[in-house]
Amino acid sequence: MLNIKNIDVYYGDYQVLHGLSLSIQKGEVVSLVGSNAAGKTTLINTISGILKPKSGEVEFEGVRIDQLESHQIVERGIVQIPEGRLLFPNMTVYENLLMGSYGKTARSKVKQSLERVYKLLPVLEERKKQMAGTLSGGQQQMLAIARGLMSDPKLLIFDEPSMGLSPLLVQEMFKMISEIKQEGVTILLVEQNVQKALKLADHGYVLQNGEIVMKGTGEELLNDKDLKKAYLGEL
Amino acid sequence: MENIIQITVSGLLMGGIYAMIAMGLTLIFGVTGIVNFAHGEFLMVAMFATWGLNNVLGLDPYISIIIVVPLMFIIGMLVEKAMIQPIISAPHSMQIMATAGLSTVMANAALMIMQADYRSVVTSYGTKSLMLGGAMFNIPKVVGFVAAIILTSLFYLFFKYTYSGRAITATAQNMKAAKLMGVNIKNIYTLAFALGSACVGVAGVLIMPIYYVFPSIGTYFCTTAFVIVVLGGMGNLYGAFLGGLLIGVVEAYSGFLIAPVFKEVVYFIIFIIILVVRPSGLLGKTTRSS
Repeated sequence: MLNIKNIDVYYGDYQVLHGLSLSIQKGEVVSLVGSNAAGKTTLINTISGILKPKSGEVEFEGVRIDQLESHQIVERGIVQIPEGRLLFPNMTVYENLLMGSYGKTARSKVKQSLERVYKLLPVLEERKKQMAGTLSGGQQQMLAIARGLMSDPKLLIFDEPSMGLSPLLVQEMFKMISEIKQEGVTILLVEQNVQKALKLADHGYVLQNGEIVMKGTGEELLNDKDLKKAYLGEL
Repeated sequence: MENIIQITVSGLLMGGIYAMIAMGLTLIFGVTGIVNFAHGEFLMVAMFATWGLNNVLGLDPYISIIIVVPLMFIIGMLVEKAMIQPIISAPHSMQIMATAGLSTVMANAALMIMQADYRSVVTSYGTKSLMLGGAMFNIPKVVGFVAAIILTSLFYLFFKYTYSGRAITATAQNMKAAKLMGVNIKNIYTLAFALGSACVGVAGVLIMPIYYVFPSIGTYFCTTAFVIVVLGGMGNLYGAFLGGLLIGVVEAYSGFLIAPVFKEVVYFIIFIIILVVRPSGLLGKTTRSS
């Protein structure tokens, strides 16, 4: 479904991603793990069209998208739930959700999408008139996810969804991600919580200094000795 | 007592007109982050257009609104595409030079073409007033005041109930998030700039029956508009509306109690006091992150 071939991405003169390749099949969850500053957010911002690769290609459903503008990429069904949520704080929960359906195709399905997210997250319906900025941290994260779902995405990208959440909420969040997967949405999950992310994943990639250093099924990576040493704190 | 009512009424009515000018300015700033120093000159163009339509075609100013406002919308759109878009992420100093430069060019071009003469539109209702509850209501000012309320309400509905309107609000609150939702930010900037210009177009038409137009009129109104924008909370449309009314009333009272020439001194003092007590302005909640 998504094919990234050999991309180089720069911030100014500084190269962040070095000949990176990655592919995601329809319906699977792919987890991308790696330490801070490994280039994870750079990679997904490149997929979302916020950054443009200097060389290499990004293909989605057989079409090159790496030179498209971000709004055109959203229109094709790739939606990002950004790190730090990036809600519209002085808009209501309801208005935030409607912003999620901004794309042309998403607009025609607003009603169904609203029903879908309210069913998944009833708390958002209770609080639909509340300003998004006044929600609790956990609720804000739920709203960010719901807003992403409102676009009826084919590929949903999560950037550090568990960041800043309590352990209990983290658990709930991962449960929700697997529910979203059940609905047939393809997911790219970028996470610091390596263990949970790999458990959920069909495939995983390990990113280090802008390069993929390891890939495999979620299970393979979970049982890998080096990875355990580096990220899971086990010997 | 009669004086108090009359002064308050005059102040509020004038404030409505100030509010309309300031709303355009604050809308442009809130969304694009650009301070349009040429905003006053846009007002001047709208006023000259109204005058021209009256002089050449004999159109009543209130009828010419259907021509002048779309015209200002288009001018705003073109200026944004040609001048603002290339500098949208440039340093502030550069943006200031660009819009301040545009202001000078427009004022001097007007001076060259129209000369420095004061021109006005003579209408049958220009000096007519209504007596109500012991106060005089100048009819064109009442029209301006009502228009300001209608305009604010229309903006409210637009921002609340349309996709484009919500996209403008969303862009002002978090540009990156709006981008990730599929909003074409470039178009939103153009739209906001064009709407801000159309807004000042409405103001330009409505003050024509009571004001003279001359090439440097923009400077006077623009200074007042800046005070109102900061007072109301930068980028806050409803704050600009309230700020406009407040400045109108303050101006009327200081003109009456002290002397008309001191009115600006007084509102600048109040402006400074409010900024010391409430730096984000009357309705300002969050500061904009760049």
